[in-house]
Amino acid sequence: MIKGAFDYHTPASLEEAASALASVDGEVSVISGGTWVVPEMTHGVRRPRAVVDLRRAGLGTVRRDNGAVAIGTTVTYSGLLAAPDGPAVLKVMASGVTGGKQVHNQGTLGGSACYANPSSDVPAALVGVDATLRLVRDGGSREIAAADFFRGSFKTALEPGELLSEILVPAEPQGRFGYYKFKFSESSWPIATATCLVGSDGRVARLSLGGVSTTPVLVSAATGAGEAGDVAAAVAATEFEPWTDGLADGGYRRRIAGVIAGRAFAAATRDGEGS
Amino acid sequence: LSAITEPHTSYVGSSERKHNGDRFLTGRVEYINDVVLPGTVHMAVLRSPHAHARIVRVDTTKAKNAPGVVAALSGEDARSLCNPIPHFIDPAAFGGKTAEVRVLAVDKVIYQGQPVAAVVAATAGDAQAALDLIEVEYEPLQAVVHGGAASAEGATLIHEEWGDNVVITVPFVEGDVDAALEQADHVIEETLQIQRYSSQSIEPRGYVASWDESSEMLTFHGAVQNPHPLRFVLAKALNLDEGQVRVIASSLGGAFGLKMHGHPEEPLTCVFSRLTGRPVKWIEDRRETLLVGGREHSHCITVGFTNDGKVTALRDHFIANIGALGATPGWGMAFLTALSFPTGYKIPNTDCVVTAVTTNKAPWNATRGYGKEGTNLVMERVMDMVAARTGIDPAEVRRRNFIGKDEFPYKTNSGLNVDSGDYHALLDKVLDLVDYDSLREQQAKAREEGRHIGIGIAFELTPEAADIPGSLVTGFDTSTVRMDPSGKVLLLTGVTTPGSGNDTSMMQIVADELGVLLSDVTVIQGDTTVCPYGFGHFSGRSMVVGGNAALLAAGDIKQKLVKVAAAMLEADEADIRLGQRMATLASDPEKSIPIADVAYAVYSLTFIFAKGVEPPLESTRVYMPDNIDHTPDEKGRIQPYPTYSNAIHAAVVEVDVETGKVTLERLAVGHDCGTVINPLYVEGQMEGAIAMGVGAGLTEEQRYDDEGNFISNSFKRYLLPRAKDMPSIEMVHQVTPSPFTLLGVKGAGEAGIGGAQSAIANAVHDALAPLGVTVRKMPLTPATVLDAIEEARR
Repeated sequence: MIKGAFDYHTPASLEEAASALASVDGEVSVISGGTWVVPEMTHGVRRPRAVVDLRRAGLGTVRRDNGAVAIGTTVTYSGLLAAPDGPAVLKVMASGVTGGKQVHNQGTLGGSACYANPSSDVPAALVGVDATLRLVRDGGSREIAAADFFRGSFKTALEPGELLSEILVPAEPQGRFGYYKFKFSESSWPIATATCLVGSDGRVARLSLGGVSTTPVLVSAATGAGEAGDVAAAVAATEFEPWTDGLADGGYRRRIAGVIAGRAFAAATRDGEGS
Repeated sequence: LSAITEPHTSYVGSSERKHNGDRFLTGRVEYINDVVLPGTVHMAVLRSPHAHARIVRVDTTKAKNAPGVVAALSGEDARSLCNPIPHFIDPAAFGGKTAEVRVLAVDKVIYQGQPVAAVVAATAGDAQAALDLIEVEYEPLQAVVHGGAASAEGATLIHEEWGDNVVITVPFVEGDVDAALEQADHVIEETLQIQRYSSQSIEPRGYVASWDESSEMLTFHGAVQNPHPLRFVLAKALNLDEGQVRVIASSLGGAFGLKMHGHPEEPLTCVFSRLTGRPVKWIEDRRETLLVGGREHSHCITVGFTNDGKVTALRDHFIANIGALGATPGWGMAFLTALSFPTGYKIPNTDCVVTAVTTNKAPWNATRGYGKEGTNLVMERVMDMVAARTGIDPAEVRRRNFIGKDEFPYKTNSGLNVDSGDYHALLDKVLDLVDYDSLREQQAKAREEGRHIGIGIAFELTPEAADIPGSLVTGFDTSTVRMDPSGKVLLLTGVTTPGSGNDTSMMQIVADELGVLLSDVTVIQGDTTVCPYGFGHFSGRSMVVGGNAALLAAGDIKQKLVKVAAAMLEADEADIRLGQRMATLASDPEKSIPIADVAYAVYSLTFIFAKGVEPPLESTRVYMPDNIDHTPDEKGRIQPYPTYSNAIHAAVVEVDVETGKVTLERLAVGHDCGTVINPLYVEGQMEGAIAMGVGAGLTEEQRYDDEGNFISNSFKRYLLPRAKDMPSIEMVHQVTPSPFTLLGVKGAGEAGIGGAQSAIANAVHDALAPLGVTVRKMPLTPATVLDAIEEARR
């Protein structure tokens, strides 16, 4: 039961959304799918004076954009899975998002990116594919690399009045991706995830980790590694701020991070798509 | 009792589908939140953010003036409107300590989440919003969180007048453990930490209380398990006569003990309804449901045994952290854990002592298994430790220690009189089911490939249908059977249903006895004004007491029908058979009369055909099982359980030693609950309990931090198993009827949790045996298992 009243905006375009956001005084929450915001409002954790719901703002498509794939901020996991142009590794990630059909049909990549929960799939996967995020405000826009967007647990580079309009993913690079997610059980949030791009030479081109730290970890030291063991060693040598939640502490996540990275690497070299 | 000597063929033993299942499947069933009374206001409860604190000041003035608010109460306000909540089972009655439980805290809070103040408002949202306007000033106190710390010298006291934090210490000692340990070929000492976990029905709790000023009657609709005993509690709390209170149990979306009463919100809704003259509704939030605890033991185990694997001595002194003492019956689970040692094994010397301590966690409530699952886990770990040390196969170790099938009834060390069973035969059935020998071969091959496959076996004894003296946890129940002039049957019973099939099962018993069709029977449960006095559902009692009482009542009506049918057919009573809605002559099957005509004659031709019977066709009967004995024996022991269902589980797991994650490959079970009325429901109960055992074994834990803040407050932090976490369950039955109950039933419903949890724990240890791993705490989460693997490697 949501406590008290709030203003509810349903802009019909990106421009309207940006101006609605600019017009609101006080705390505002932006809804893309609402799978985080609505439960938090129900529990009184979040008490916005206004809600801007983007679902009618025309941001629900996946399209080609100059060699990149542009994923609108309200594209659901199901929508991505159904999109012919959807990047393969993000589809693998989306198909494993916890919550079943209901969350797949309701939750969005854009919403998850903006929520920036360390215990979630999307942030580190976006860093892994070297995505760029397009941020729009009333009368302007800017682009930011995913690696720079995530600033801490539940913290992003979004400024007041800004919203995420699109996620731009570079067209499939040379090589193969592996995505590996480790969780405790079906209903568990991810404990650790790894997104690994392996070049045509069979060596790591890019590796990111999720769930293990407050923000996605780009493991530069792994670049060029050609064995799962070397990948794990590179992870072990990488400093990152540990992340603890109600399921697992930072020490455990760090201990398994190398193993999970190694499995993503193996998935990439084996069949191109991790599990 | 002639009833059971005649053959029953039609419904009993048959997998009849739930008679009203369509109502559940199509959403027409009325759960508590569907109960809407005119003028209802909604209650919200302000809960303590502190685990332990003095309440300096509570001010509800601003809340009272908030939009939609009708009334607000502090603990001080409520104290004059409501007596302390009577304990479901008072520890003082067993020589322990007790404490007053108030609907809203007065002076002090003793757990995070304890109700401190409450409001009612026009909408639930208004009520929630008004909570923010209640001002409470606290003076935080040191929180006592861990069981060991609670019992330590100099611990902060939760109830100062107690002098310590011990609720009760209960010893069950038999023989001479010290001497037997001295003589044992082997002695192992181990510890085992069982986590705090509970049962989470998908429907949370909820109540609608309605006080009618003109009749001075209180009607209480609730998601509750025990309407009549709850009526007693509400009447006491509110200074009413029981006759002024009507409790109606709504259809339940699961209960599992959670909906046994003693919760503050039960009387609190009533207080508000009397205060405002409006119906008051309260529906629990999942964060509130998750507060209710259960289990949490620290066991210190010493076991002595011979070279050939016979256990000669067992010592288990354990601390049970029961959280705050509530009025709910949860704390009693700790008692039952100790009482149930050493389950189905013959161990001549035992010394099992529980120390139940209170801490600043939320109270326990009863939860499926009621403590017996903890005993089973300890015993099954013990048997596997013996197997590992002696090198004897775990199945064989159990065989050598089981009670023999010719030794029943068998009196255990704590005085339980185990009714019947054949554990050896059941073990063979399960080993056949899983093809144990070939499993071991596959395991050996997998080990060569570097994989860690484990096989775990666990026996499980489940005492059922409890009678706890001095409480309304009572071992009898009552059923009324009424046949109308139309020949249709109404069954009223004191047993309630959690949404399972005990209603249909009782209808099957009644339909068979009266020779009518299942569809001729209607059943009503859970209404204190309509149903005979009864105790609801708990402890696998529904068939044992409700079913057998229905059988007796139906038997009375059958006798009348037979008499009247004989008069109408001008035949001997002994010649009459009832079946397929007809009364038929055995000697001449051409001669018959519809049972409906006989029933009509009882009401309409009473002075012609029914002179020899007393109309109407109605009987109320009680069933009191044999084998309950509260006269202490020479050792002071009592016998509170009439029946003892048993099961043997087998689990196959694979452990990922790099992450510690356990994957369940197979779960199999052989189950013996005596006579099976309806296999569908018995299997459904077992499957559900096994799923709970999987959660108990692998993921479910209610975690607190060291300051007493509750962490596991959502299903993202308290992980229940989902369908994809479960392998399909392989099940076989064995039937050794109880000689002490009318139909030979033993009770089904609780068995499964302890057995599945134990089989999984044993399988994990079996998988990791080459690494020499012992895991000393539950659940076996990847982090816990990886810790244990790394500890073994050091």
